[in-house]
Amino acid sequence: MVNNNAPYSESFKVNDRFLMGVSEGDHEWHRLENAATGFSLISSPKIPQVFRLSSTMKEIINVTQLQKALNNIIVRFPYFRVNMKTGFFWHFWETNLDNPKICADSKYPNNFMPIAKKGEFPFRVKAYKKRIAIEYHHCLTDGTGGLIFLKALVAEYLSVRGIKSEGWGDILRPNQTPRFEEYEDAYRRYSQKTKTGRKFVSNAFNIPFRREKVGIYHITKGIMPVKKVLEESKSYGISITEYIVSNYIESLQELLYSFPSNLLKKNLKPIRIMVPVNLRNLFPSKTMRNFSLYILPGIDPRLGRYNFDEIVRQVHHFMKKEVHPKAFISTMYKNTTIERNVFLRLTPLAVKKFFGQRGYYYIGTPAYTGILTNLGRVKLPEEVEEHIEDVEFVPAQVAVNKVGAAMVSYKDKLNINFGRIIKDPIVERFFFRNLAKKGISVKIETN
Amino acid sequence: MSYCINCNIEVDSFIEKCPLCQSDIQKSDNINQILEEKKYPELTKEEEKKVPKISGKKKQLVAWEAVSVAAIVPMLIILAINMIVEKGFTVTWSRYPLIGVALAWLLITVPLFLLKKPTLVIIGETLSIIAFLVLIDVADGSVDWYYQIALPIIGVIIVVTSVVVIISIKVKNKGANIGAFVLFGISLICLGLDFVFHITDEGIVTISWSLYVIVPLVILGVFLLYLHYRLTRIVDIKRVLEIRKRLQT
Ligand SMILES: [Zn+2]
Repeated sequence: MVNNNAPYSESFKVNDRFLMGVSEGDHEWHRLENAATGFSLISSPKIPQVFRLSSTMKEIINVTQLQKALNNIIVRFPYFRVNMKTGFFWHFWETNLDNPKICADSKYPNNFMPIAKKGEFPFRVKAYKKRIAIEYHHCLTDGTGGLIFLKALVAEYLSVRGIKSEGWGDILRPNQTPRFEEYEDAYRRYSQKTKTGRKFVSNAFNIPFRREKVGIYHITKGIMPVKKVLEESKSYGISITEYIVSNYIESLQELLYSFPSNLLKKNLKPIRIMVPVNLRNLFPSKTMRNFSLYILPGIDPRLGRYNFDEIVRQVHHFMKKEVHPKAFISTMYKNTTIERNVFLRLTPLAVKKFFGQRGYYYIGTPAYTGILTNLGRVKLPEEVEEHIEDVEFVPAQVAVNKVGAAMVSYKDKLNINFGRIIKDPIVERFFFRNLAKKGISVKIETN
Repeated sequence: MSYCINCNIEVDSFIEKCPLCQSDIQKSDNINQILEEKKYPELTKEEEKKVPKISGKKKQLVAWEAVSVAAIVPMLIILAINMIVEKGFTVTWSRYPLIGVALAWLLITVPLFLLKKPTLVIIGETLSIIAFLVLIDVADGSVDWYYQIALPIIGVIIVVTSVVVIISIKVKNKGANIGAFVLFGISLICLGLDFVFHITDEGIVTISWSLYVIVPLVILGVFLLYLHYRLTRIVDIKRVLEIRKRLQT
């Protein structure tokens, strides 16, 4: 049983063994949580594991003021003020008391970050015209943690620029003391030993095109009126996420059937979308580190062609069933195998990484066709909101699936950013045309 | 506001080709043009350089370095133990393991650099093995069995294996015919060995035991070839494999 009401002190006890191991002044260190461990073993220039959140202001960014704001706010996020160190068996975080430097934005976002290099931060803040963008290495945190930091940085930037706010709402401020709970390895806190076996998921339809040169990442942003999308979803009695996922699956099905018959035959496999679930909504945790798992709604085109209503039913009921605390407890436990198995533990880090980077292409990732991660609606206090034009979420590069999407809504706009490492925007074309066909107006921007 | 009529999507007014379908954009008005600007910077020279490139050459070198270190460490250990045991700077029994490790190193190094040239790999590996046998033979002080036995045997095996491998790769319709080629190869090797032994022992050119191996193997090989080239056209082999396919799903 999950004790959802576990008091704060209890969570402290559960975690203290795994948290701040030694504290000797500046050289504090702590372990990577379970998801970060996985990411650290597979991350490479081909699989950078970097995602990005950005906020577009109403005025051109003043880099000096932004740097000052970053210096002020980073103190509130000690678990982000780190550098990855290489142990013999594992990577770990060590406190890095330098200040991260604002850098210029680049044409292709979310490229490899050499986070194990001395002094390197696992995130970078980039400024371009009116936009503040933060690229995070997934080892550091997930989208939810990243958004909290972005909000705090933007608010502090506004405050450096002299904007006064009555209430900052839930935005973290430099004068607060970080809470211990923010450091916690929530996977460890909530995973329980279970005897249920791991569900085997067969390989899905994977986009068959050849990837571009490493480092090239095409972004296609679709901007839609959130009201219209909400109306459409409501007409089916489903959430926006479910609606977009259904649309994504339908587009992939159309894409599959547009193939010549030999290619269609070869690729006739289940179409699944990886949808990350923020576990903080299911298990109370204030952690700023990774705490999400994913589910795989989909259809099996081998059973025939689905119409949109059928896809909606599949997706809606699957998500209703799977997004449930009990459904994740055993997965959390199974995922810690790598940290529990004696042989795996005793394998040198270099060997783990060698097999991790290669195994990534064969285990787990081929089970889905695409990714759709939804950060939901970004809400800000009124005084902050009036200075911010837009919020964007750019997905990490995906080496096997080649195309992924991330969505976030802000004010009256719904932004869906597709990122792809192949040349042709084939998935984007099917996806956005499909939305337009349903009467949703879409504006496209690219890098 | 500009529009792509194929995709039914809107784009910024400075866009000329639709980002989704590459068709020309219909321009209606330019009111928003001042407000709209590029969303990402241009690719800079510096960034182009930053795009991480690990060339195949570099990977090869890294792998080769690792293999070399992995070979040198045990060699040094063996040498040291030998010297400690012999209480001086003499190399006695350790010659054999040293030559063995050196061979292993050569065998790995050759394909590492010549991966895309199979003929060169075969030649390189043959030369390493031949060199290895010479060294082993020389290690005990004199050359005796090398020229008479080792060299011809190695020659026969390498030549026959290479021919079988190359034919198997080149042949278009793969199946039972590969099995036949392997059987013919084994027959040829046996024939060669038989020759070599007779010549070194008795100095006469004849064959004996290999006949018992060759006859059944050749018959079996011919049967496989017949199966492959004649029967496949009559009986659809796929039907025989159908059971397996059904079991898979
Ligand atoms: Zn178009």
